[in-house]
Amino acid sequence: MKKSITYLKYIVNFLLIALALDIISKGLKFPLIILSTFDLIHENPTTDFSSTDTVLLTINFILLIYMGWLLLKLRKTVYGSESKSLFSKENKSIFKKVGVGIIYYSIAIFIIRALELYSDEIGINDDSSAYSFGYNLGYHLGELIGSRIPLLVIGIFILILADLIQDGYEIKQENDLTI
Amino acid sequence: MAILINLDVILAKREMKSNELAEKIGITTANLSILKTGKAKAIRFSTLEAICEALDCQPGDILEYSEEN
Repeated sequence: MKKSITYLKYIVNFLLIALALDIISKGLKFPLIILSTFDLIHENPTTDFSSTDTVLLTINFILLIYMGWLLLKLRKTVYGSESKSLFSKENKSIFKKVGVGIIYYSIAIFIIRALELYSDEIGINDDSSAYSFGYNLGYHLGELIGSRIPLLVIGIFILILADLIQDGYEIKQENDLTI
Repeated sequence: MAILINLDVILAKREMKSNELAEKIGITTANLSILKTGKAKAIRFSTLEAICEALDCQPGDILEYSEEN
């Protein structure tokens, strides 16, 4: 059990680093938005932000911070269970919160990406060809759904783990209270 | 709880202390306390046998069924 917990610790740390980099890359866009709002930057094409982009970026940023908070919670569980058993009420509630949080996050990030895709890449008026529009829509939407499903599955598995921890806790309690 | 533990009564009748009984039957005083306070979820036959042997009594003297919860 301790060995698998160590591996989980490494995975959570790795995810936290990846998330921190993503938060930094998203966070660095905010100064650009402010500068472009006050017409201080003109030349760089990436600074062309619409109000929708700003709103979507802000929501995305908040969601990333939320995900980071969930991972920190999971990391706390992993570290906290070094000395005592994994089957505890605290671990169960943390796993449940993280599982539900990941499911909500995957749904919210799917909506955000879909809106970003709709406003940026597909663009109904960009291409007159119905075939091209259909192809783009199918391709991007397929990619979008495909990339979000693993996160949803992970969330469901974490919820199953939470239920297993609850069952384990009850069995452990029964065993501990058998004299 | 539907099953009551009358260990205190038997201990008082035998003029025996809890730690003395715990030592005789080979369980910790903490576990004996759990048993006495009715917090235990189950009791092993081996523990019951040891208690009956140490206190010279029957299982029915220690355990009692009550309809009240």
